Amino acid sequence: MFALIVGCSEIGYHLTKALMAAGHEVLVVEKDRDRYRLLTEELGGVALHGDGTDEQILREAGAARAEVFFALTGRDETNLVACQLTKHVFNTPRTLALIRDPKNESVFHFLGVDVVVNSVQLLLAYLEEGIPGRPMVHLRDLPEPGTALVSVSIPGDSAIVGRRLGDLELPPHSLICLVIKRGGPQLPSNTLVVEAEDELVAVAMTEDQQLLYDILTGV
Amino acid sequence: MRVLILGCGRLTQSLVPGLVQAGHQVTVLSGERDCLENVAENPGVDVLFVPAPTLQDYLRQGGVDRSNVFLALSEDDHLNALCSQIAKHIFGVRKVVCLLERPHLQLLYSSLGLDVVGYFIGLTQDIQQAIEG
Repeated sequence: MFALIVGCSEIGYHLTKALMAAGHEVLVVEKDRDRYRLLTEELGGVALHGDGTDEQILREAGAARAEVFFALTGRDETNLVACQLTKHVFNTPRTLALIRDPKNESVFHFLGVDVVVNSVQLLLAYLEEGIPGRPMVHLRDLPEPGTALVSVSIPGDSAIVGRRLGDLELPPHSLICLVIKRGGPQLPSNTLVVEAEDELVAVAMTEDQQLLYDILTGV
Repeated sequence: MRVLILGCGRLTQSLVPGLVQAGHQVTVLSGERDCLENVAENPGVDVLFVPAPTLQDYLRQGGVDRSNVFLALSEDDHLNALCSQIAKHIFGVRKVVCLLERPHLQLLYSSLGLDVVGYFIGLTQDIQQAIEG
């Protein structure tokens, strides 16, 4: 597979190494001369010095035959332009972008970026997981605007402990899609009984998240 | 009409007095403090200093959801492209104008349905008209 990467931050560097180790062909377009040099010195001829949002540079980089395109610069707007260029001018089948502003996720999806990775949100989710008595963890926004995948761990004193999933009254459009029990993950069914320390992964509308959380954890 | 302008530079400074005179309600969002202070001298113009204008929260604070016209006139092509598309597709602003300096981006975003303006487009048209005229 030929992967084209724009922006060689730390993430770009590690991704390049991982893709190379897996036997893929990789080319990184890097605007910063020092970073470009470092990359070339360490990994050989895998980099091209230039602006990854310049059509001519992307053409030189072989965008027309790239099977997957990663936009990993530190700026959301640059990553969007890079993905839109490669998608519309070079018909790249799969584009991935890194974003920082969580609110940009839905607009990127709407504009045709195939995979949007929100680095800040991911880190927050991991950090929140470490908070004792942690609240609902936001896992990711879904392509449908206003919907998200969230995870709630059920405290021992929750009123729903011992009840069956089918008997819970959830907000409309909320859907429990996975129950992670001590013994391992289980697909939800109406007869599955909620136990303390279960982790429920659910789809919820943004405006219903607090209500869902209250239902699942309320005493 | 409510006009929200992203970016404060010479273009915005020369545009705002005319918009005010024409009776439009103008708000300018920018990270350029000095320019904002100049623009704010026009009566009735709201200015909003934003350290990171990509954030949708700032666009909302500037009233993007109530604006009839959104003008992306910053000096950064990428910023203009992103914010124009947010204004158009997320907030449904009816008239969105996007300033782009680089010709290949002008072509791309015109084809994607934005109203693109830029020196290259203007110059090309002017030269063609000069030849034909």
